[in-house]
Amino acid sequence: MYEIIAFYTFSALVIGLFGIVVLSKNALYSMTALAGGMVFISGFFFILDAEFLGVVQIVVYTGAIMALYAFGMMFFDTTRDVKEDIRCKKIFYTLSILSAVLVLIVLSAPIFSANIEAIYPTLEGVGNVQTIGLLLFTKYLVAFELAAIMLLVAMIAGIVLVGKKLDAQSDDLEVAKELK
Amino acid sequence: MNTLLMWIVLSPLLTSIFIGMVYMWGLKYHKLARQWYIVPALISPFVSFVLACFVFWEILTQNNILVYKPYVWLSIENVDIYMGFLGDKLSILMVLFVSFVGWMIHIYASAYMQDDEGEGKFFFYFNLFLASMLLLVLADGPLIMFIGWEGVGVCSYLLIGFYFRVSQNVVAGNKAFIVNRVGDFGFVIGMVTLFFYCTDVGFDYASIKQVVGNIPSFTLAFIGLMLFVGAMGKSAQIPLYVWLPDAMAGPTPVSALIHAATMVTAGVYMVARFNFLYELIPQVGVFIAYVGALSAFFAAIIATKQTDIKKILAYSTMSQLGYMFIAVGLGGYASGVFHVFTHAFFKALLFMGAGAVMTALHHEQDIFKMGGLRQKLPLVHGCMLVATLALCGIPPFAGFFSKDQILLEAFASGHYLLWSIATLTAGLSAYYMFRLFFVVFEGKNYNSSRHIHRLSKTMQVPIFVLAIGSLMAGFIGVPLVLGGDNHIASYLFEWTKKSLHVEHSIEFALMGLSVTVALVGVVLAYVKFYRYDFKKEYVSKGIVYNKFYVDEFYHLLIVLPLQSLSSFIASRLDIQIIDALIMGACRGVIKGGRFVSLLQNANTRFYSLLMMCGVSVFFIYLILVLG
Amino acid sequence: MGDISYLLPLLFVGVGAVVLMLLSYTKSLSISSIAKIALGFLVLAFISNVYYFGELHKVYPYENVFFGMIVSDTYSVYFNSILLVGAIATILIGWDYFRPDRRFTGEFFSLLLFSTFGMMLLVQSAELLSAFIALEIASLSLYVMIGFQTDNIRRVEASYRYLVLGSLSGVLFLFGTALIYASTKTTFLGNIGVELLPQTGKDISLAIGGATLILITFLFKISAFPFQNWTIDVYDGSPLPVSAYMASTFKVAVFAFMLRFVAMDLGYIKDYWDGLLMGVIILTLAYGTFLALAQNNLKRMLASSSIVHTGYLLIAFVSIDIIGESASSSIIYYLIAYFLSAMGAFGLISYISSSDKLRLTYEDFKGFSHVRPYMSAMLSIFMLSLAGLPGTIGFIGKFYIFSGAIEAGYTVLATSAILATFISIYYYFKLIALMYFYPSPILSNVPPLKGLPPIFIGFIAIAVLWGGIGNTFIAFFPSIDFLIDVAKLSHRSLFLQ
Repeated sequence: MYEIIAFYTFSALVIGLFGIVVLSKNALYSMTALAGGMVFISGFFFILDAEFLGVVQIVVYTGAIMALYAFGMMFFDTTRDVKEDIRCKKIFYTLSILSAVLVLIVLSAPIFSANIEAIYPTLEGVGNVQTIGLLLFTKYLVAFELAAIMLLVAMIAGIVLVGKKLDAQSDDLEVAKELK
Repeated sequence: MNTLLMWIVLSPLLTSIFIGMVYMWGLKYHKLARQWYIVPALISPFVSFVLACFVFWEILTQNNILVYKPYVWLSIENVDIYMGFLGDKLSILMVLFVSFVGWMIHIYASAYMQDDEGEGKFFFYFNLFLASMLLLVLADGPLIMFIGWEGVGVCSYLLIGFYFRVSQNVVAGNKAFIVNRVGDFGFVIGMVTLFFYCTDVGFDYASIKQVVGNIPSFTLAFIGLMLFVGAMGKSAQIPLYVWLPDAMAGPTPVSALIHAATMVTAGVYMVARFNFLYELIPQVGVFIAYVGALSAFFAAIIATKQTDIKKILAYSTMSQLGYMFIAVGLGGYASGVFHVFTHAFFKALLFMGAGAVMTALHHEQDIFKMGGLRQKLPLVHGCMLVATLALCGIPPFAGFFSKDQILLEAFASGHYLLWSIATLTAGLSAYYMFRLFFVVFEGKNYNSSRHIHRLSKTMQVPIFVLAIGSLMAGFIGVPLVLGGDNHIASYLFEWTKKSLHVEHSIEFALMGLSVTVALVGVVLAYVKFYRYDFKKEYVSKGIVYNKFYVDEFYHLLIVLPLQSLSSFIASRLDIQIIDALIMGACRGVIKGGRFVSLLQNANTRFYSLLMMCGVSVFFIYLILVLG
Repeated sequence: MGDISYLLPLLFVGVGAVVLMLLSYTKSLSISSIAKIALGFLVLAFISNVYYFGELHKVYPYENVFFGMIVSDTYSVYFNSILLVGAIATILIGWDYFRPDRRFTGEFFSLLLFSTFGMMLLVQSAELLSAFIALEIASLSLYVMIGFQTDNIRRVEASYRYLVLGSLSGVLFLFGTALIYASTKTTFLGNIGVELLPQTGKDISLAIGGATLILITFLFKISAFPFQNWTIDVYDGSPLPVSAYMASTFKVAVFAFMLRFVAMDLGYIKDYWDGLLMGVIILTLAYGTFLALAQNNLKRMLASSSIVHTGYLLIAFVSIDIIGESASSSIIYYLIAYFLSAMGAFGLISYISSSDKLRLTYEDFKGFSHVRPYMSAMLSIFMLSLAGLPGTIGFIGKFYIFSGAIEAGYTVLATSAILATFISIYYYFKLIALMYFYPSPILSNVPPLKGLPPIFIGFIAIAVLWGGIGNTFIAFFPSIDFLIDVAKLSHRSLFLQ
């Protein structure tokens, strides 16, 4: 029962937040929404009894988005567009109170039902760090290591694309011709 | 030993490629000395000849058949067609004289073409010609033979149109090629039909030999006829002979090569090669013999009125080929091949002599503008006399023995009509040959002051050698009645007609008769043309002189309708109907293209939208399918 | 030779990529010497690969360590050869194009090797996850290669566009993998098929959805109809040798993986796709044809026509389950045919454009044959082959595909493909006509034929003709029959145990 409620809540939230990511014109809002969406996605993992993945999701993506955040602020100077303009204080208060209640419910939930279990656990016993580690370093070792190569390529790509330009003259003729 | 067979073909082939490259090099960069292509060109036929001698000896002593199959050339379903070479008694005999006579002609050509700027090109074609012919002869199956067959056709086209700056020569080349294509068409049909029955065993002669017995006789006759259509084209028989006289447009050594050793003999050889097939269909053989006899007679009549020295010789070739077809048609393959053999010598010699005469007289071809050359060209005169006598069948020259065997076979087989046509033709041959001979060498020459171009030694040596050949070649087939052993018949035992029983007295009578007829022809020519008076302009007209208007007839019947059809298609059908349709469709399609390129608006978001639409469509489809 | 010998080609390319990455740091090495080193590694890889060419085998190297994620069989060897030749060809034809003043640096070659590495891995991977990562390695390197000339806005735009759309398709692949895993509890090729057999009585709709998603990625990468929009813009925006590389090799690699996946696992699921693929093929053919007709730019025309060629390939793809071996081998053969022709065409155009003057539109080629007869001849050969005229390898490839389609009963597809071929003659022959039937050239200062690229392109042209004539004219020389035989062996090697 709880799982169902949780799943639909999280789904709605994730879709809503990612909708903001795509639709918002303000980069800062998009990134904030993205971070929120990522955190909510981790909820799915917890529902599925995959705590490790959930934690990793939060740590990795939140971290990544923090970095994005910082870069976004630096490059676009987005703060200028954001005006903290709270016109209706009632809404603010209502939301605050609701959040507090939510936190209370979340924290006290285990008191009422200590043994929430996944309806569809991915695998019996999986979800703990050991099993994932074993899988990653035995069966999926190749994939895991290939991922490293992929990151290396990404790194080279980043350096190449942003690295300092050579001072040679560009082929203006070519550019002109191809633009035509 | 077996690999030698391949090298017989490869020697001129590689040489021709080498010469071609040297020639191209010479064109592109600086001209090379003529030794660069003369020397290899002269060596390669000799190499082939020597190799052929080795193989010949091997076959003669070991009495076996050599086969060499280097690799699979084609693989059709489960039939592997090998690039195979077959050296048996027949093919090696052909190779022997083809390479030898070819070699002689090469030597002669090296003098004849000396000052021509396209000499390198000439020898490139020449060696290729020889290589194709050798491949044709040595092939172990019809398909490989066909490569040589077509190669010969291409080379003849190239060589006939060698002086391509004169459009007439190009037309002649085209004519040869196109008429030959008509023949090839028949040959291909025959070959394909034959292949239809050979899908299980393979497509070399040995395999075909096994299956011919199973082919229904009607189909077999069809195959035989179709193959013979190919032979008609190559060997210039009625009705596909029209290219041969025009083929004189090429340089004279080319004529010698085409007429003596290569090309025209291919048809005869092919029929002899397929003897196992033609033996089963004697009625087709008789048809072949009649076509041959008619061609022989017809050509001889035309030759009596021609004035061009080379054309006379061309018609005489056609006439002689007719004899060969009489022989092979009646099943006397050995005699046919024997005549091919002797003919190669004296015909090459005749052409060389004609070439020598023409060279001496600065490319004059009309015999009635020559005359009195006996004193000026004594060697040529002597050799030409030998060749003429050989052709006329006067004993003991080469032609006598071979022609006599053919006549004997025609008589013995009971086809007296054939025999009488052939005998009559012998008389005609003697008449027109001596007409040529007397006019050119004995006629009163009023322009004796004219400068005579000196003939080089290189030109005279092969003439002399071949004269000896024309004199001696017949002795390998001296018939038993004359006390000879008829080596050729025992050598080509497999190809001789089995049931040939004629009384010795009749044989003698026939011999005497044919010689008498020939002598009558000679006498007639003597009366009419000996010491021909050049004051009187020779009037050349009449139906015979115009070759019975066959060319014009063909032109009217075949060429003109085709031309008008194609001009109708080109100007009416194509432009007014097809073009309009196509162009209309094109415009529509191009408009469609414009519309489609609107979708290509370089907007990434739009693209991703389209992609997601695509994904949705896919899944809607899946939902529909899965229910 | 142990298991390592099966991995040598991969290792050479991978190690080469890393070495080049490190070398490109030093400024003392010129770009051409780096190109030479890259070439060296590729040739080494090619040699070690060719060692097993045409030998029927299937090996999971180091199975106790790699757990069968990487496979080496006749099939992978065959495709690796194509890919390696493609990479080598790219370097050779771009020999004059990759110059420092065009902002090419050593890293470019490192990326080229990485992308080849990714593609080879894709061909060799026997598992969906590693396939995904391989695909991403290849794509990622390609994105950067396209946008390498960062000062040229068109390059960056193309790179960006490809990145966005490519990632979108990559996500679908991953999602598909997840769905398949959810349904079958495995990601290993071969095991999936066992789980999907109808005998197991499982509900496989999830797996069908997953497989369809992977199919979509595949269709995207080979630019089939609803996912083809990127093709023209990306090809057009890329440097010419990179377009050549992309057009010829990437399609091959992706096809190789998909063919393996479908042949090994999705035999049953494929039936559900039949109608879908029919629609996709017809629309792909129509779209590509129409698009190609509307182009004035040669590069864009080639890009559009590559969509049409995708359509041809998909026809053989559909007929796999009916005439399995011959359809697979005809795909494999057609890939080679297309590979050669496209490589040649792109390569030659890039060589012609490697001087300062660019020839890109049809108009630029007016009367070209009068200036450069040999180049025109080669270009004509490639066009003829792309159009599929007899005497070229393109004809044989098309012949196998069309006859296979008719044999399998897809007459409609064969007809529409023949129609597309028919129309394609228009845009291919337009170039030939322009080159030959105009008296005076507009642009005359074309580089003469010299150096490595023209020789190499000449070889490709000869190969195109050789493949078309189709027989052993020279003794003991491998002919296309040999390639077809190996293609059949390759297909067989997929099912070895």
